[in-house]
This record gives sequence, C-alpha cells and structure tokens, in this order.
Amino acid sequence: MKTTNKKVTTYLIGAVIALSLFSGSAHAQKVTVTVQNLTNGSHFTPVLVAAHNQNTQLFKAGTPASSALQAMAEGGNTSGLQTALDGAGANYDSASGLLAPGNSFTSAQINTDGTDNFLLSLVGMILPSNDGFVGLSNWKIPSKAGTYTLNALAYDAGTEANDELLGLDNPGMPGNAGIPAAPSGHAGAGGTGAAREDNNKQVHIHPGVLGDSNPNGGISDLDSRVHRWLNPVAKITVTVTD
Amino acid sequence: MITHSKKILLSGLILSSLALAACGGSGNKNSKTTEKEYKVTVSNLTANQPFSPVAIITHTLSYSAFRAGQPASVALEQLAEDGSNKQLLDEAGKNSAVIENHSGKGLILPGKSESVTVSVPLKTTDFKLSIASMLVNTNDAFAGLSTSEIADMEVGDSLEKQLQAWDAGTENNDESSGVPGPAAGGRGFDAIRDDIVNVVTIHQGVVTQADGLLTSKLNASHRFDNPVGLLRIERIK
Repeated sequence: MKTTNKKVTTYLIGAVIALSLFSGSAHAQKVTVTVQNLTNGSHFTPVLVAAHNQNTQLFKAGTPASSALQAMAEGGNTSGLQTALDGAGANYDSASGLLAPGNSFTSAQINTDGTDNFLLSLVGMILPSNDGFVGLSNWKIPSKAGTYTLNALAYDAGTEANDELLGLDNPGMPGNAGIPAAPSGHAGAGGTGAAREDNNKQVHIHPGVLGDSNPNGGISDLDSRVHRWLNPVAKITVTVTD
Repeated sequence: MITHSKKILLSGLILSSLALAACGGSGNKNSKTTEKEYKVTVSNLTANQPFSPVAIITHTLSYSAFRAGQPASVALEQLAEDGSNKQLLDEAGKNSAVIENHSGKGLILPGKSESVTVSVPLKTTDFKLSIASMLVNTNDAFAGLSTSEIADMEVGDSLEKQLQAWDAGTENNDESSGVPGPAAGGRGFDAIRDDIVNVVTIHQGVVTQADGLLTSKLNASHRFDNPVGLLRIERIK
C-alpha cells in the first residue's frame, strides 16, 4: 500500500511539473507507436506510421482512396504513400516485415520538433484480403506527455472486388484482381469468387472476409474458420514524450 | 457578408424574390443569437447497407429514443423494420423533453453522407443528441447513438463518434421476407415481436446465403462489421 501511494504521489508531482514546463510548447513531441495485430489468422504488411500536418492524410473514410493508398491496400506497397509524406514534410517510420497475429511492431521514435505534424496516421494491408487494411487516420497527438491506447479498425479501400481468390496473375498490382498471399496458411484453391465488384467504392469499414470451408472449391479460397476478423483488428499504443 | 451582398445585387432583378427571401432569413439570424448551432453529419461506412432517412433528435435527459437492454418502442420498431422515422419524430415532437427533431432528406447510400443543422437554446446546458437510421437490407438493424458530449462543445469544436449497428429485437432475422430493402424487397413493419429476445442489443451481423443460410436473400456484400457509420458534430454557433 505504501509503495503504491508513493508511486501515485511521485506521478502526480511529475505530471504537475510536466504541465508547468511544457504548457507553452506547441506540437513539439516525440512519439513512439506500437501496433499489435489482434486478429486470429491475418497478417499485416509492413505498417507505415506517420506524423503529418493537417493538409495531409493517408486516407479518409467516406472518400475515394488515392492511388498510393490503393497500392498499399491491394499489394502492401507503401512507396507511393511515403513519397507523398516526404513531399508534405511528414515524419514517419515503417516496419520491415509482416506482422503476424498477436505480434507487435514498435516504431522508431518519431520526432515532430519544429514541425506542425500533430496528426498521427497509420496503415498496413491485411493479408489475406483483396484490399483490406488496418488504419488509423488523423488522430490528434496529445500535447501532454503520456501513454495512450487506441483501437484500430479494418477498412476496405473500395478499389477492388473482394473475390477472395488466390493464385491469380500478379494480384498485388493495383487494378489486378485477387489476393497476393495468405501468410498464415490454411488457404484453399479453386474458388469461383466471393464477389464481382465493390458496391461502395469509397474507403469504408470492411465487411469482413467471407471464406468458406471448402479447400478445393466453393466461392472463396479463404477459410471462414481462420481468416475472418471482427473490429478492432489492432491495438495502438502511443507514447508521447516532450 | 459583403461578397454575398454583391452576388445578390449582380444576380439582377429576376432574382429579387430570392433576395427578399434572403432578407427574411436575416430575421431568423437575429433570433439565433440566443441559440447554439451544430452541424450534424452522418456518414454511411457499410459496404452495401443503405441507411433509411435518419432521425436526429436533441433532448434533455428524460427522453430516450432507445436503450440497450430495453424493449424497443413501437416508434423505434417502425424505424428499424420499415425505415420510417415518422412515428419516432412525431412522438418526439410531442415530448416536452425534446428540443428539436429532424429528418434526413432521404436514404444515405454506402459511402455517402448527409448533414443537418440543429439548434439548442443557449440556456440549455444539459442535453443529448440521439440519432437512429435503419440498415435497410436487414430485418430490424439500425445505426444509433445517443451522446451527451455535444453539450460540452465550444464554438469551433468538432467531435466524431462511431455508429454501431443495433438489433431492435422486434423481428426474427429471417434475412428474407422481412427485409424491406432492395436486397429482398420484403415486408416493412410488422407488429408481431418474434425476435429471440425482445430488447435492443448490438446486432450480431447478418449470415447471408453466401455463408450457408440458404433461405437468405442477402449476399456477401450485405455483411457488415462495426462501426457501420460515423457521426460528426461541429458546433458552428
């Protein structure tokens, strides 16, 4: 009990000092972002985490995907988004590999000192999916130092029909049908296609993978017992330091 | 303001009646100095579930459009099964705890948004905003939210809330004859309460024919996950 009380007191004093010292500084934070994959059977392609200004965004629900977002959502390629972020003077970091179910990626410390990059966004393609991605858009980085946790949702880029088919020609290429890979395994083949087009062509909440239980046919090459998810699909932990 | 006046002048005599109408509007403006004003925007983030005309109600704390775990009112059942917000708004209009009630202009299709402006007297400090709108390709699912956070907003503040899909608990989810939307073209309101539980709960989602419910008239595109929509509130006055 005593130890706990002391800790609380120390923390409170620390908070007061932090407030008084830094209340005047604007958008001069360093943020470290951890993304944990909360799905059961889906991987994330290398996650891109960015602090950017209010004139920049990676995506916005209810509006059409940019071609750079489409390349990320259909094939995991973030080079177009990184070019856009460079042009906007954003601060960002990205993972170097796939993020398996349950695993976490922690970014390098992203330093926004001397910038107006007070918004945080992140994206990573969900595999296996046609154009599903985990996303966070325009979260305002708090001016107060601390650790913040958020839930991230699965979005559909609205750029490709969710046919749920593997083994098609160059499926990760923007505009090409099909799913690039199913890194967690358990996928089938010979499906006839779960959908022919996206009804909602704006970025929207992903309706989820359908899948089926037929590994050698059916409508989907995915397994409904393995590859489905429900929101939230990721836990985001943001550590803000001055 | 000056630019606006010039525009009206330049538009000429033919539009003089419109200019008069604009003058009439300025009278309203004066009265609105005693009111807070909010722009309320509802966005449909589903893949293929049009939203019925949204019901938007501002009210003090003794009113509620729906409550989780409680049976739906017949008016909410009308909205959730038929997409008709009329009875809910009519009843709200007669309730002394209701400040304003508004209907959206029409369906909000997937990927689309609609904005409505609502006003609240300056002196009213403790109030909520409630909204409800049917997912029309379901039996009795609706996007709904009630928030008191609107009362804490200053001019210029904006707030975003995620809309969850609720099951009104008033109709069995047959995904067929009881679905009035374009996916099934079935029946709307039916007074019989034949759902598993007669209370409002978070919707468990639709199964669809694609997932093995062979009698379902829904396909994979009609599936949804939460949140199904986004509510954005901006205090503009």
